[in-house]
Amino acid sequence: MTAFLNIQSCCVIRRQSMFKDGKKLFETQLPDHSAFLSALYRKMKTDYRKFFKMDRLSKLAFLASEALLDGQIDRSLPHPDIAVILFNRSASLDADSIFQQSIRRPDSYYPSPSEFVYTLPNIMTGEIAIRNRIFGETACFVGEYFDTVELCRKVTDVFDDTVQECLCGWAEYFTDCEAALFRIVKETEAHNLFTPANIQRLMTENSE
Amino acid sequence: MICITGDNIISALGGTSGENYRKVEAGISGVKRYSGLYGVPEPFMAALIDDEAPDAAGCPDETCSPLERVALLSIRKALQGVDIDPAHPRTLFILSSTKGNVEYLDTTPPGGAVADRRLYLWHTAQYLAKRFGNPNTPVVVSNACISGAYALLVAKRELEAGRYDSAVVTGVDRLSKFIVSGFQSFKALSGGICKPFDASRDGLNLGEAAATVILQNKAKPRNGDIILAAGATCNDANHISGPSRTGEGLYLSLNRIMRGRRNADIAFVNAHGTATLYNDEMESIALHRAGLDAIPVNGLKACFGHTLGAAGIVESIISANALRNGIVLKTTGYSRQGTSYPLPVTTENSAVKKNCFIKTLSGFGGCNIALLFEIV
Repeated sequence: MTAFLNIQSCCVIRRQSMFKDGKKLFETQLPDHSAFLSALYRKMKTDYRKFFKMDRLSKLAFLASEALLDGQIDRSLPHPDIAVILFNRSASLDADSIFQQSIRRPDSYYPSPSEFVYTLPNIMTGEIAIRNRIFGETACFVGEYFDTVELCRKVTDVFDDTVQECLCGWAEYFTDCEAALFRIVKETEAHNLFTPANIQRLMTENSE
Repeated sequence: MICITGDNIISALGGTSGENYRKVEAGISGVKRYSGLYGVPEPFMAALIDDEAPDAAGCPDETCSPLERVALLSIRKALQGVDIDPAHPRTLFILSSTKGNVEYLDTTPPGGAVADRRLYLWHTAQYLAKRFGNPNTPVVVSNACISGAYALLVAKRELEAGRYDSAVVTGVDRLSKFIVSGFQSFKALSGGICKPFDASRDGLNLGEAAATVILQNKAKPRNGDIILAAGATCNDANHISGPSRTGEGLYLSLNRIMRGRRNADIAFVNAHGTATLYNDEMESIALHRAGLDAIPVNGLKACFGHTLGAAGIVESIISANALRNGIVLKTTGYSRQGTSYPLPVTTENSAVKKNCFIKTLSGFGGCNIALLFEIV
C-alpha cells in the first residue's frame, strides 16, 4: 500500500500573532515577547502548570504544539508512533544567557539546576513529549535559516514503519520569537502533500 | 551499506583513535583533579584535552576557537588515507555539539550576544565545512547527550536516501565554567574517577573530545568493514532531566534495532554508563525489559569522562575497534554489581567471536538512542 505524507494542520507564531490553518487567532502588541507568551497561554485557556517552569523557547514551542495537538490527541494513551523534530537558529542561547548571568560574578555565583536544564534546545521536544505522552523520535537541529527543503528531508527520513505522525517545524527564541509548527501524518491518499512548496505556501497564508 | 571508512579521536587520552583505544584497553583514565580552573569555585574531576600535547596541537588558525581547532584537527586526521573528497558536493558535513563556543558568553556583554556569530552552532559547522571546501550547508545536531550517536543515525539516513555518498560526522565539546558549574548545580559530579554501574557509584566525570567518523555508502563492503546497520531513538515522555523509572525510551529504541536480529550475534552493549545513580539504574531496567541483560555490558566514562556531544562518536569508535580486534573491553571503574537488575558488566578484557555490538546513550529532554554496528 502506498503511503503519503500529508500536512494535516499548521500553526505559525510571529510578530506577536498566532495563526492556525490560515486563521489569525490571537494578536498583541506587548512590550516584550515574554509577556506575549503569557498572554497567549491565557488566551488558549491551557491548564498546564509545568508551563510556568519552562524557559521561553520551550514555552513558545509548547504553545504552538498545543494549538495543533490539544483536543486532537488522546493523552490517555502512549504514542510510540509519533515523532517531534524541531529546528531553530540559536539553540538555547536565550536560556544560556540567563544561566550565564548566575555564574558571571564570583560574589553572586549561584548556578541554578532549574535554569541549567533548559540550556539545551531539545528540552522543548521533551516538554512536548511529556505533555502528549509521545514516545517516538525527538530531535533538534540548528541552522542559520528555516530551510524548508531540509525540514522535508529530515522529517521524511524519520518516517519508517514505526512512525505514523510527526510534529515538526521551527521554533526560535533569541534573535526573534517565532514558531512554525506542522503536523505531518502518514495516510493512504494524497491531499496536502508534505513538500517544501506547500510548507512555504502555508507560511505565507499564515502570516497576514 | 553504510561503512565506517575513517575515524579519529582527540581526547585526554591522545590524538588518534589507535592511541585512545590502546589506553582504554589498558584501563587508563584521562580523568584528573582540577582546582581553580575556569574560575569555578570548587575543584572538580575531568578529562581535558591537553592543547599543548604534540598530537593535539597544531592546525593554527587565528580566527578559530579552541573547540573549532580540535574539531578541525580531528576531521583532518580522520580524512587521512580515506578515499573521499571533502570538497565534493556529494559529501555532507554533520556537526554534533551540545554547547559549542558557549564560553564566549562569559565575555560578551549582555545584549551583545545576538550579534556574536561565534556563539551559534551553525556558524561553527559552516566554518569547519568551509575549511575543507565543502559547498553544502552542514547539518547541526543538538540533541543533548545523545547528539553524537544521533548525528551518525542522521548521516546513515542521508546516505541511504541517496543524497550523498559520504558523510564527515564530527562530535565536539570543550568544557567551560558554564558546563562545569551547571553539572555541579545538579550535584551530578563525582569527587573521584567515576564508577559506571558500580554499587558505590556517586556521579559522573565530565570530559572533552573531538571525534570524527567518515561514513560511506558502499554497495559491496569489504571483509572487516564495520557497518552502521541500524539505529533508533525514542523519548521517555517522563521528565526533562530525570531518567525514566521504566527505561521506556531506551527499551523502545533497543526493541526497534533488534527486530529480526538474534541476541546470540551481539558481542557486547557499550552503554551510556555515566555513573550517576539514576542513569545506570535506568539502563539496567531497559536492558532487562528488552531481554538483553545476558549480553556483556561495558562503559567507557571512567576513561574519557562524559564527552557530551562527542560521546556517541568517541565510544562508537572505541567499540568498533574492539569488535574488529575480537575483544570485549573491560569497564574501568567498575567492581561491584550495583543496579536493581543485575547486568554482566565487564571487569576484564576478553576475547569474543561475534559480529555485532550495540551502542546506547540517553540524555536530558528524555531522549535515548540505540545503534547497532556489524562487522562484515
